[in-house]
Amino acid sequence: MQISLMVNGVSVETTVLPHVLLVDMLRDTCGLTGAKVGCGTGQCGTCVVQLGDRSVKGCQVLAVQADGAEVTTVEGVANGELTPLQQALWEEHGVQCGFCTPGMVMALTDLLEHEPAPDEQAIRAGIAGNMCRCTGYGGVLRAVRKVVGGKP
Amino acid sequence: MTAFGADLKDREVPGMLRGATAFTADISLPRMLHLAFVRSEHGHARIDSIDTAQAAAMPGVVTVVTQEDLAGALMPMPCIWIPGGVESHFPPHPYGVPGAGTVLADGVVRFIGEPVAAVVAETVEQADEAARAVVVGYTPLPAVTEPQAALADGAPQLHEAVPNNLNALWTCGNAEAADAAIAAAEVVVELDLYNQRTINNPMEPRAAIGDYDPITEEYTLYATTQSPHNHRFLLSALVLGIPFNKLRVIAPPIGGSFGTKGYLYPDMPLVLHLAHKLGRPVRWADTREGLMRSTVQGRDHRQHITLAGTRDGRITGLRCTSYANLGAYPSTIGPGVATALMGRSITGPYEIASAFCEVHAVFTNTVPLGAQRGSGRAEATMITERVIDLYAREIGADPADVRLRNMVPPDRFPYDNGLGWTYDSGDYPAALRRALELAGYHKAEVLRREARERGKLLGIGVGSFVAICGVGPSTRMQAEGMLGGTWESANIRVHPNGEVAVTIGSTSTGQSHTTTFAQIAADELGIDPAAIVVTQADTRKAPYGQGTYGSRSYSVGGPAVAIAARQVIAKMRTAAAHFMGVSEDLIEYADGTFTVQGKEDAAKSFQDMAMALWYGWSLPPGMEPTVDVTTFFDPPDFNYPFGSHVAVVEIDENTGQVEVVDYAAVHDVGPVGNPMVVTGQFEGSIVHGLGQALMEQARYDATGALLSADLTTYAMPRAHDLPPLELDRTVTPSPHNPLGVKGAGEIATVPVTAAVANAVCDALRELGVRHIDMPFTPEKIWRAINEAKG
Amino acid sequence: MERLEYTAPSSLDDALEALHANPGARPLAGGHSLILDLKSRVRRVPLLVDLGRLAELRGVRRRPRGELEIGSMTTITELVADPLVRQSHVHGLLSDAAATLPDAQVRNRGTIGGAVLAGTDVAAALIVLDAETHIRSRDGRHRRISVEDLLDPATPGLAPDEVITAVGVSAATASGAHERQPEPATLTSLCGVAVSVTFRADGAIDTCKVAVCGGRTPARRLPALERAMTAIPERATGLPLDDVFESDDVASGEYRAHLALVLAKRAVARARDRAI
Repeated sequence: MQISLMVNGVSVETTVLPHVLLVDMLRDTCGLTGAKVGCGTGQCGTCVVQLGDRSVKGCQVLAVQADGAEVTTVEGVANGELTPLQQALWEEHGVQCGFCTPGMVMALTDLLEHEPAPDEQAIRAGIAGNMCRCTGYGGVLRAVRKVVGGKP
Repeated sequence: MTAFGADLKDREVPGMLRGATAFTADISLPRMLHLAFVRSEHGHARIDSIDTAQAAAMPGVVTVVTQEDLAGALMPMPCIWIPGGVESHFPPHPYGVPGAGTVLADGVVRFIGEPVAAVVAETVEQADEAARAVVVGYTPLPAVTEPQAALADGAPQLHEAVPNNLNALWTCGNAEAADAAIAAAEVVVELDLYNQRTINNPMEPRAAIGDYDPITEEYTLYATTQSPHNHRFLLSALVLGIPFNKLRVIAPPIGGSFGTKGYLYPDMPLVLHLAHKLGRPVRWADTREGLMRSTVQGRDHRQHITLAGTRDGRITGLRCTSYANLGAYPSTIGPGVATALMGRSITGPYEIASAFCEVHAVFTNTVPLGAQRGSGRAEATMITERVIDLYAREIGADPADVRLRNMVPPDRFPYDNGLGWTYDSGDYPAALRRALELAGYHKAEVLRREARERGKLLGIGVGSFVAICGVGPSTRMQAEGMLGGTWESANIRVHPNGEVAVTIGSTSTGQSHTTTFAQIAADELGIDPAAIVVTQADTRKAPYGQGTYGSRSYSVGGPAVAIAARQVIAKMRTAAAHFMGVSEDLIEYADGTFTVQGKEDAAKSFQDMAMALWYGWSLPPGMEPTVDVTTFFDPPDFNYPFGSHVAVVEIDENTGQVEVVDYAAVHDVGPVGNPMVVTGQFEGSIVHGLGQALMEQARYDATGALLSADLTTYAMPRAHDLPPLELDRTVTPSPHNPLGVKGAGEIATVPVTAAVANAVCDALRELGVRHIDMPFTPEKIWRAINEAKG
Repeated sequence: MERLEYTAPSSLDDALEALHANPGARPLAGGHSLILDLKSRVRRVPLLVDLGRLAELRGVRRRPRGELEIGSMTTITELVADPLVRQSHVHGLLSDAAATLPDAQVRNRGTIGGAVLAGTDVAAALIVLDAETHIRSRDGRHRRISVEDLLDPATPGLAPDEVITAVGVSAATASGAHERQPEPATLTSLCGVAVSVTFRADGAIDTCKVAVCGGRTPARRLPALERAMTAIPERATGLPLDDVFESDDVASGEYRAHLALVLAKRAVARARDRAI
C-alpha cells in the first residue's frame, strides 16, 4: 500500500504492507532506530513516538494508519541541540543504558507539551507506560521536576 | 584535581537522548540475513522428527539447520564455573572442561524455549514465518520443575549422566560445629523460605550478528555481551574451533544486563558459523517472549535455615540447606553462582562462630539459571536476615539491637567468616545506625499508631548485608572452580599534545564507564578529564579483560587505570628530571606540572613531557620514546561493600495492598568516583529488589510451561512504584586495591527483599503472621490476614 | 503478524459496506486489543476496516435534552479534556475511569467505542451512567442499546457488520466515582467498581447504581451490591458475591468479590464527597 507521511519534518513516500507496524517501518524503512521494540505487547514503552500531536506506542499502530500524518521520533524532537527535557535527563543521570530513553523522552515530551506543570503524581502517570530497569526512575523524575519547577 | 568524586555527566548520554546510539539490533550490515529459532514448546520431550522441508521452500528462506547439521562443525558449549571441590556429573566438553548443552537440541528438549532448529532468511519476517512452518514431532516426557521433586525417587531424569538430577552437592563451613552449636543453644529458630525465580529482563533483549570475511578468513561477532574477550576465547577455542586470531568480538552499547549477558548462548556460535557457511552476515535479535524463555533466569532457592543463639541475643550458630534450581543445563557460570556466591555469604555482616551451608544444585525442566543483580548474596541475605528477625522476636529483643550486637566490630578486620570469605574493612554498626536514624526507626511505635488510625498496618524492617564483589584474585577463583583468570586491564596512551586515550578491558552495560574511568585517569594524571577518551568493548582495540560482572569493573578495572596512570607519571618524572638536569627525587608533580624543589623557574608540563617523549630526542639513556602503558590488575582479594536498609511499609488490611512508604539505605562502597552515577546504581538496584519483593515471579506449570511468558504476565516496577528513598553513604576504603574502591553496581539489590519482608512480617505480626514468602502480592497478604484472623 | 488487507474509508457508509461485503472483516478503532490479538495470532482477520478517518465519529456534542453524545472514535484523552464533558456531572466519574487505562499512550489512541467493547472500567462507568450506544449498519439501519445490555452475555452483542457510532450519556445529576485495584503487569484492573449515587436532603443514599469489572466477564451491574450500598454501606459485609467473579492466573474470584465490596464502599464515599 502506498502511503505518504511526514517523519521528523521530512516527507516520506513509501510502499508498505498493511500488517507492518509503525515502529518497524520507522526502523526498517526510514532507518530511524531510536524507537525500539522492547516487549511487543505494549507494556515497556521503548517504541513510543509521536503521531500527530500525541504520543503512541509504535508497536500498537500499523504503519498504514499513519498515512497522511506527521510522525515525530526521538531523532526529531530537537534540531541539533538537546531540548530542556533532554538536557535535564543528562544532568540528573536519568539515563543509564539508554535503551528505554527514546520512548521515555517521547512520552515526557507529550506530557510536558500538554501539561506544562504536572505534579509528582502526573509526572509518574506520564511515564506509567515506560519501563526502565536501570535507574529505578529516580534520575528520570528528578529531571522532569527540574524542567517543571527548576529543582530536581 | 578533583575529577574523582565529581558528578560528571555521562558522556554517552547525549547520543542516547537523540536516538543516535546504535545497539546491536540497530546495526545493519550489507547483505545481512536474519535468523529465527524454532523453540521447544515442551518442558521435556523426545524429538522424534524435525521436518524442515516446507520451511525451506518458503519465500526468502536461505537455510534451515538442526543439531544434525551442526555436529562436527560446532562443539557443545562449555561451563566455566563448576564450584571448586565438587564433582559435576554433567558430561564434560570434548576438551575435558565441564560441559553445558549442545548449540541446538540433540534428540531431547529439556526446557520450554530450548532452540531446536534455526531458520535463516532474507528478512526477519520471512525467517519468523518459516520458523513457524518447521514441524517438530515430539513425544512428551514427564517433566519436573522443582529441585526437591527432581531429587526424589522416581522423578523424571533429565540427563543420563546425572543420577537423580543432582549436578552437585556443595558445602562450606563446619557442619559438626554448627550442629553442636544448635544442640547446645538456649534458643533455636528455624525457617523455610522460597526465594522465587525471577527474570532479569534488561530492557534490551539479546542480539547477535555474525560476519565472516572470506579473504581474511576472519569472523566478527557483534553481540550483547558483557564479556567480549572471554567470549572470544570460549567461542574460538571451545565451540567453533577456529584460531583465536580469526575471531573479533564487538560489544555495541548494551541496553542493560544485570548479569544475563555474561553467558554464552547458542545464537553466538550459530550466527558466526552460518555467516561463514552462507557467505553473508547473519543477524539474530531476540523478542521479549524469546528472552523470557531462553535468557538465564535468577534466584530460585528453596532454603531451610536453623539459627542457634543465646537468650540475650548472641547468635552462636547457623546452618542452611538450600535446593538451587539450576534449570535444564549448566549455564556458563550458573552452577558457581548458585552455590559459592550464596553459601559462603550466609553469615552476612555478623560474627557467627559456627556456620555451615550446603547447596543441592539440581537440574529441572526450566530455563537455565544464571546471575541476577546481587545473585547469591541476595538469596543468602534474605534468609539470614529473616531468621534473625524471628530470633529477635523469639527472645523479645529489637531486631536492630540484635544485629548491632552481632555485627563484626570495626576492629576485627580482616575478618574470616568461616565460610570462605575474608571481609576487608568496614564499620557495619555505623551504617546500620545511620540507616535507622534516616528511617526514624525509634519512632516506629508512633508511626504504627498513626497508621492504625488511618486503617493501615505499618511495619518496619531492617536488612543488613555485606556483599562479596570485585571478582577476584585469579588464584582464589581457580580454587572456587572458575576456569579463567579474573584480572582486569587498562592501557593508557599519551598523545603528542598531552591528550590521552584510555582503553579498558571491561565493558559497560549502562554503568557510564567511559566517564567514570576518565575521572580516575584524570586525577592520577593531573589533567582535565575532557582531554581523555575512553574506549572499551572491542577485542581488536581493547586490552584483555574478563568482563563486567560481580560489580568488578570499577573495583578491579578501575585500579588498573590508576596503576597505568601512575606508571605514565613515573616515566614522565624520570624524563623531566633528565631534561631539567636534576635528580629524580627532587621532582614534584602536581596539577599537571613537574617542578623542582627549590627551583621556582624550572617546570615542565604534562603536555611538555608528552611532546618530548613523542619526539624522542635526547631521552634518558635506555628510555623508550612515547608513553604507552598497559597494566593488568589481579587483586589480592575480593572487596566487601556493605550497608543496611530500612523499609517502612503500610498494608491496607482491606485489600492486602503493600505500599513502601519510606525507604532508607546506607551503603559503604569505599571512595566514590562519581556519586551521581553511583546513586543511580543504588536507586536502580533498590527498585529491582522491590520488584522481586512485591511483584516479580517466573512461574512454571507442572509440564514446564512458562506461565509468566511476557510482560503482560510478568510484572516489573514502574515509576509509581518508586518509594521515597533516603540514601547515605559511609566511606571505608578497601585495602585490596590502590583506589580503595568497592563494588557498587548491584549491591543495593542485596538487602532489599529482606528489609521489605521483615517490614511486611512486622506489620502483620500483631495478627499472628510469622512468615510469608515473596512476592507480597495483595491477594497473598489478604489471605494471610484472613487466615491469621481465623 | 499474518498478512491482511486494510482499508480506511472516508465515509461511514463505505465502512459499513466494507464490513458487510467481507466476511470476517473487523473495524479497527484504537487497536490496542485487536492489534495485540493479531500479533499473537489468537485472532485472524482478513480485512481491517479502519474507522480512524471518519471525522463524523469524533467529538462530543450536546443534544437538546442535555444528553451528551460522544462520537465513538473520540479518544479517551479527548473525552476527558472535552469542555462539554468537563462541565458535566459525568466528568468526575469518567475521569476516574479514564485514569484506569494503563498509560497515556493507550488513552491517546484508545477510543470510547473501543472502551465500551473492552468491557472494563470505562464500560462500568458508562453502565452506571445509563449510557446508550448508537449502532449503525448498512443501508441506514440503526439501533440503540444500553451499554449494560450490549455487554450482557445473554444478548447478541454487536454484529460483525455493525459499528458503534456514538455513546449517549443522559443529563441526570447523580454523583459518581470509580475505584479499582490495578494488577501490576498490565496495569489493568483486578477489580473495578463504578458507582452513581443520588443522595436525599438528609445525606442518606437515595439510589445507588454499581457496576463492576475484572476478569474475563465484561462490566455489569451487581444488584446485591447496589442494595447493600443503598442501605448502610459501612455495615455491608459478607455479601453473596462468591460466584460473581471468576478466578484466573491473576486473582481468585473470591478475592475479586471481596475487593468489589471494599471498593464499592470507597467509591460511594468519594461520590458523597463529590456531591457536596
